[in-house]
Amino acid sequence: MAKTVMITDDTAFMRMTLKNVIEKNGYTVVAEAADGEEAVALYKEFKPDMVTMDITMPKMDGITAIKEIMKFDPTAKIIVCSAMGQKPMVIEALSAGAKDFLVKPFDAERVVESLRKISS
Amino acid sequence: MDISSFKEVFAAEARDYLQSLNEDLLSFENDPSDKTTVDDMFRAAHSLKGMAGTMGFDELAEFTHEMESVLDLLRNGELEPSQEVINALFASVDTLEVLLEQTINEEPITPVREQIAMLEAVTHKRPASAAPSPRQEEEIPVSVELDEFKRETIKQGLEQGYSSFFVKVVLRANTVLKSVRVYTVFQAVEEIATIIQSNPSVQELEEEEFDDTFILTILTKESSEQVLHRVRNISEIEHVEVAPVSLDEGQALEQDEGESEGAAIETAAAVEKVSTGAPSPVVRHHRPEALVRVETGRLDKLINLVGELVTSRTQVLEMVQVEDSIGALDQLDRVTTELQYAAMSLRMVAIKQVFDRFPRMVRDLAQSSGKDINLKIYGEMTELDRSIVNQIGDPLVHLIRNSIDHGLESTADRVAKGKPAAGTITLGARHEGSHILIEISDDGQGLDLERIREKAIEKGLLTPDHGSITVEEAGDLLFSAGFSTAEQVTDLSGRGVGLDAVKSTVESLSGTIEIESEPGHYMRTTIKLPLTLAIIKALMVVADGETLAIPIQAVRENLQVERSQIKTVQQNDVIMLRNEVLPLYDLAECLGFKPLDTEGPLSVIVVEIRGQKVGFVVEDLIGQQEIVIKSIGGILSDIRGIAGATVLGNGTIALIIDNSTLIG
Repeated sequence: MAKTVMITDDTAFMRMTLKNVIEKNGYTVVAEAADGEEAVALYKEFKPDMVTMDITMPKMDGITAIKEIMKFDPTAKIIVCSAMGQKPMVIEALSAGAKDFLVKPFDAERVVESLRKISS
Repeated sequence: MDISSFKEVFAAEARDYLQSLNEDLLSFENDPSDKTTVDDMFRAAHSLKGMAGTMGFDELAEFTHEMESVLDLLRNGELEPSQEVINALFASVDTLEVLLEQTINEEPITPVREQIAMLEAVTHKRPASAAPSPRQEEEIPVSVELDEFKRETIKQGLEQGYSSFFVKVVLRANTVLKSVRVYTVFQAVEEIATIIQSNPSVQELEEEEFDDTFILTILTKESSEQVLHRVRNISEIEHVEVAPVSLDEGQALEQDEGESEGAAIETAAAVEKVSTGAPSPVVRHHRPEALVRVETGRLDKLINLVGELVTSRTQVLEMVQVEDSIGALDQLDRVTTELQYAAMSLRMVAIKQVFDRFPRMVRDLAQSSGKDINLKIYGEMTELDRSIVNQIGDPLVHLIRNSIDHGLESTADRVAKGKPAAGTITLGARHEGSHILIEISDDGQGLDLERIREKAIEKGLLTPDHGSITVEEAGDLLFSAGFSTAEQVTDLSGRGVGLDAVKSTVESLSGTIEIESEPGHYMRTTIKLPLTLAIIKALMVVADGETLAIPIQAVRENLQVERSQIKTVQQNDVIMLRNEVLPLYDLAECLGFKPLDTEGPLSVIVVEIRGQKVGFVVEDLIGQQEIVIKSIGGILSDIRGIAGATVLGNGTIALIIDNSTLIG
């Protein structure tokens, strides 16, 4: 069965781009969240195998969302997505339990590598 | 630390590397697309260079460096693996072999300028499109300096059952947020290990003051594979290597291959290496069967002592016949017997050692003779006594050369005869009872009986009116001195010396050699050798009061002969035995003892020497016994008729008869 992925990003364009890359590589996108709160709720509902998590989002930021999700499921596999200049946040996300990180703009190959490695 | 004491270890290991370079080159020639082989060769050359450098053998190190450069270009795809390149590499291995032996024997080093020029010539023909890429990750070795405190920490960790590794991590060139990537590596490694040291320092890594490579020194309870696996599963890692930490100066650890310190310094780097993204290459270890190197002299001493122990045991068993000590004596008997077998097994080595050189030899001869040849090898793990292995190589070389030179037809001839274009040579070994059989066969033209007959007549070995000969007779002729049917002397099989030398080597090892052939189709030579030369079965006899041992494999029968049956032919005593004339010799007289002067019937031992039966008259016959052969050293080692000596159960010494030189 194909591994399931939840995409978290506040811009629809980014979600679309990511979904396109992820689905092309044999994964199933089971949920798309537009902010941290939604991400936590949808994670509990769908229990996806992997999560991509943007940092800067309305309502609840990505780092808080990661902490919430890890509290619910310590084995969650989360890839944090950052923009340039967010290095301290990335480290905070990794300490909070994120398994890998991606830096925008995304390179399709990097996204796939990351999914492949954290799922193995 | 006096490095010269490592010379032997160095020599043995360097020879291993050259052997594996040879083998890898052969498989590379068959499949140049196999990157793993090139990587293996590169590693072997790299390790060899390091070892030679450590020993201060500059010529060797320099030449290996040249070869390594060619392999590096191959590895990076900057040089096409053309036949010319492969031949140059083969020639380089040969050059290295010469350099190695000269270096070890402290002989003058032959200048290798031409060979270096040859290697440079092939490298300059690299494809122009591929500019040398600035990859230099190999230049950073997988090890770092450790201060006294860190070394102490590692030592204590090792004592508590931890392993210590260097983990070399190379990030992909375009990695973003390098410091954060390093952080993920630290996170992953710290889940299973304690990081003792980081080079460059953590601060430099955080400030991204490094290129792409960093080395962690860790203590862990996990295996190197586990560590490798963990790091490999991190994104944006170009490549990872894990190598055991060795604290030198007598505390070299993690030497799972049993090298001693001197050699381990550089070879430690030849451990797992994995480029991410590609399927992980097969990790090949050198010398799978060799775990500990022991000087053969020490081994022989051990075996000798065990032999003596067994002898004294027999003595004790003969002397003591007290009821209540029987149980303990049985135990002593069992243990010493097992000890003897265990000690004997130390002498046993796989015949692979000898067979390994043939793929390369056949390849070279195939190339120079223009014939297409497949070499099939079986039974290479068959074990036999080391002393036999050491001597059987040359005879096998000779027989294989003969097969290539005289046996296999040219490709055109084979096709014309409807045979497969490529000739096949089979080399194999197997056990049969207490013997090992070595077979060398080819599917060539077989024995040309008519030509052998003509040649034998020409050489005066047969009378001119001799009719057609059988395969068996042809075999005997081929093995007789001074016989060669090669019309042209080639550099392959030499000049008619050889096959008789092959036969005498085999016979000196108490073996026999046999030829089978179907003219037009095949020829097979089978060498039958005893498994060990250290213990033999012997017939014990007495001559002039001395106990003597006659190796049993030469003994055909023993007889009681009435003096009236003895006839004299040309001043020699003979008897008629089943219509054959059997010459008689007094064993005591042959050895320079006092001739037998008793009355009554005589005990005669019939022995076969070089195909001829002869009878030895002895004073008395004791019976069969297993004996441990001990060589008689020094000035006594070359006495005609004596092969060695053995100590008997009662502590007396018996000489062992060497049939082949007893009568001349």
